[in-house]
Amino acid sequence: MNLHVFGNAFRTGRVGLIWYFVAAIIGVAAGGAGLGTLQGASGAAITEVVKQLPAPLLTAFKINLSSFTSPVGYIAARSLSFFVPLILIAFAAGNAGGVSQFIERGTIHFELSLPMSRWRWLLSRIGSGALGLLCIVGVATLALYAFASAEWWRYSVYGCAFGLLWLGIAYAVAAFSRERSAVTTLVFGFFGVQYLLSIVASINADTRWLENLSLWSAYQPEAVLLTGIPWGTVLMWCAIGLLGFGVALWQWQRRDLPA
Amino acid sequence: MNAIELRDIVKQYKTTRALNGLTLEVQAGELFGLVGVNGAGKTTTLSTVMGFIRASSGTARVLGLDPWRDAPTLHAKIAWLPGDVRLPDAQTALEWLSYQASVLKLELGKVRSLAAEWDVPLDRPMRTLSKGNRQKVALLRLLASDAELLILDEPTSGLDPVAQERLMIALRERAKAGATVLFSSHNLIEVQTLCDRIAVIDAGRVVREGSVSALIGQVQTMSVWSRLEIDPSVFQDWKLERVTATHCILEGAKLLEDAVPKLLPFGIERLEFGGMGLERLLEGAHRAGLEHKNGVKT
Repeated sequence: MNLHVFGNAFRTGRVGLIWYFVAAIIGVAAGGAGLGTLQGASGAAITEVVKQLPAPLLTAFKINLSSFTSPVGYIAARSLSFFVPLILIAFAAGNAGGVSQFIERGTIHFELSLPMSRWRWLLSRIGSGALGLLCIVGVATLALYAFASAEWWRYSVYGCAFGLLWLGIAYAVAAFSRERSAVTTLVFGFFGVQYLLSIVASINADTRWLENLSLWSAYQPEAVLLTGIPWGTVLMWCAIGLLGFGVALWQWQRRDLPA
Repeated sequence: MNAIELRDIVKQYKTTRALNGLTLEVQAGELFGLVGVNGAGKTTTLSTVMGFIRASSGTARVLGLDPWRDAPTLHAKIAWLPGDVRLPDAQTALEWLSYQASVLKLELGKVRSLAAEWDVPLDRPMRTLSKGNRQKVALLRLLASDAELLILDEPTSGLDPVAQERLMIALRERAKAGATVLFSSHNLIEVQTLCDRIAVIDAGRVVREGSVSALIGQVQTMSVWSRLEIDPSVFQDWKLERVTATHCILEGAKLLEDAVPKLLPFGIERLEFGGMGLERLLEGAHRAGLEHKNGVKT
């Protein structure tokens, strides 16, 4: 890793990173803001409405009816089940897309003509992305901490592993791409497929097997907060993420990038 | 010693052959120009030398190293200027140059003094700079280095005449100090005045190579005044332009050896030989290349 490239990547992305912080805080705060209402007089009525929702919709927002009225269950459903991971995926796609943007904007050859191997340059960019991801998860975790006393720190480990998974996927896509928009489209397209698979899997018992194909089905933030970190899942995500980085470094090293 | 040696380089993309057996040698300390029409293969050649692309076949050595495999080592010895200078819009010139200087181990003080000399505003975001000023920012990066080899693709593009002249002087000084300068340009006057040697590239191969004076000084045109009307069918191997019935201009190779004997029956009254300008050389090379491609006898 080259510290100058790492530092420059982090410095040039700092404004964008602040927006991700703001989005993470708003996401958690907006989710947590309804907690008082749920625990108040209207709580029972809201729970009744939620119970009427079809199963796929409950799955879409990872709503667990048995714990929905608890702080952990509610915030997991409102913030952690969709909004916060979406921010992490958006950051991963945007950060990796920055590499394609170098090609798209024609600034890549100044980078390629630096006296370092291509993989080292890309690794420095990946390192900067991973640090950004850590910061976003950290901010989200701190925001969560304001709402309840459950073991929120667990989400920092879980969220980082989830973010790493998507950062790896995004970099693997970016190493083959020439346009930032293509990276964003493909990453979100892949996420969309994973998301749909998890919903279809919840329709009935016959389609349940589809959840094995969906990375999104394995994302269960509420269970993490209540019972602990599923290290097997975390390791699997980290492994897939690292594999993605490996693919990205391999492709980046061998790729023709004509001036 | 050769700073650059390219032998039989072929670069094949999916459907396009960008380089077609290109062979080129640039000696150390030389000011070498690459000229050619658009799409001839100049930038692909420079990309190969820089290790941005890997040749499909052939061998390339730059400063004794393989430009693809040894790119990191090589880039410490090369200063590069791309043809189409694009810079990060949001950064100021100083931010970007500081970053580049830190990786390239350039003295920032030298960059600043060059910026003052070249009148480059360092504190403005680069999206607000004119094309010429962006070109100058990229040139600062190149000129601040002590690289052994300078590679420039269309270096004067967007520069005002004063800056162009300043660049020419700087490149000459660097060559005098022992650096090798390889550049491509469409500005033929610039190539003609600056370069020790040039190579004309067409359809991905070098079609002419040599010193500028030798190449453009070759007898390539001949004005003929004759007593009798000249029969064009006798001169099908040359391009013949009839000015009058008894005055024509012949253009092509081997005029003295082959064309003059054929003119004798028409009663030569006067002959004038002319060299070819670089423009004509380029045009001729391209035409020959097209004819070759189309299977027409050249």
